[in-house]
Amino acid sequence: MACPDCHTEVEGGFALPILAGLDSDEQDFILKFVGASGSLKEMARLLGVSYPTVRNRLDEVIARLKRAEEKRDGTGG
Amino acid sequence: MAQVDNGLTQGANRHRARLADLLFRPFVYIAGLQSLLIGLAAIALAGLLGYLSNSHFDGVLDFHTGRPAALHLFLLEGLVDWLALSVVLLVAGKLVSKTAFRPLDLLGTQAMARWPTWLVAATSLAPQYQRLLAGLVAQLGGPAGQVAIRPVDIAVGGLALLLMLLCIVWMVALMYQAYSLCCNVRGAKGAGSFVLALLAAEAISKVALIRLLTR
Repeated sequence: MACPDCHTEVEGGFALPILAGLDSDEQDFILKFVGASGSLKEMARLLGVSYPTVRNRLDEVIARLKRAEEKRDGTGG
Repeated sequence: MAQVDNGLTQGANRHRARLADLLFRPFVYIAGLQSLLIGLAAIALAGLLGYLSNSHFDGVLDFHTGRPAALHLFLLEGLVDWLALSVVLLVAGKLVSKTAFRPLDLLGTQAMARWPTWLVAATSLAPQYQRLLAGLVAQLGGPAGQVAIRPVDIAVGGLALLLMLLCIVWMVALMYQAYSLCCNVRGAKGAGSFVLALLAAEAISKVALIRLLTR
């Protein structure tokens, strides 16, 4: 893991938190979702998209988290 | 300068993507009650224009011009078509979708997917199209009914027919996008279940309308 600005590098055999494995868009989605108290309707209003669009995005994030969890636990295909 | 060009190109690409979304995937932005109200208004408008041009949407995918009828029958046709496909897609969605979805989204977006039908009905008002159809029907009646069809009617009426066909294709594309988004099903499973549902809904709507109209 390295910082492109200060060039600090950290090496070692450690596991990153599952959330850190998501890309920045997905992390941002989770932050907004928590901020909206988990309301899909509120998320739809915040993002300017329809309810099913938000729900599908949430399904994608859940699937990513499940895969990451399985990978961490060594149960993934 | 290159950066300005790059920025302009990216802006134009975003604009095109947004336009394509609005034309073919408007449900990314509109669903639920809002789409239901827009859809019902479009279905009512298509029924009214159909009444004025004697054009019937007598089946989920059907469009025929000819027989005059009462206004309420034209309105009923659009509602039966919408409900037949919506109910069958609800069942298909329950069977193939892995996620919970709101029936209101599916009903609303399927109503809105019928938006192009008012354009079809409006196009069928064109006098050239009406004369072309009348001429063709007279010719089918045999030598006694032979009438000359004016070239301008063939050209403009033919263009109107092409526009109507494109609108029907557009409507089917919207119906699929609505189903795919609301039930979160894509790929072969999404397309396969949609085609089967469309065929079933076409048969159901035809039978329902024949029963309703022959009462």
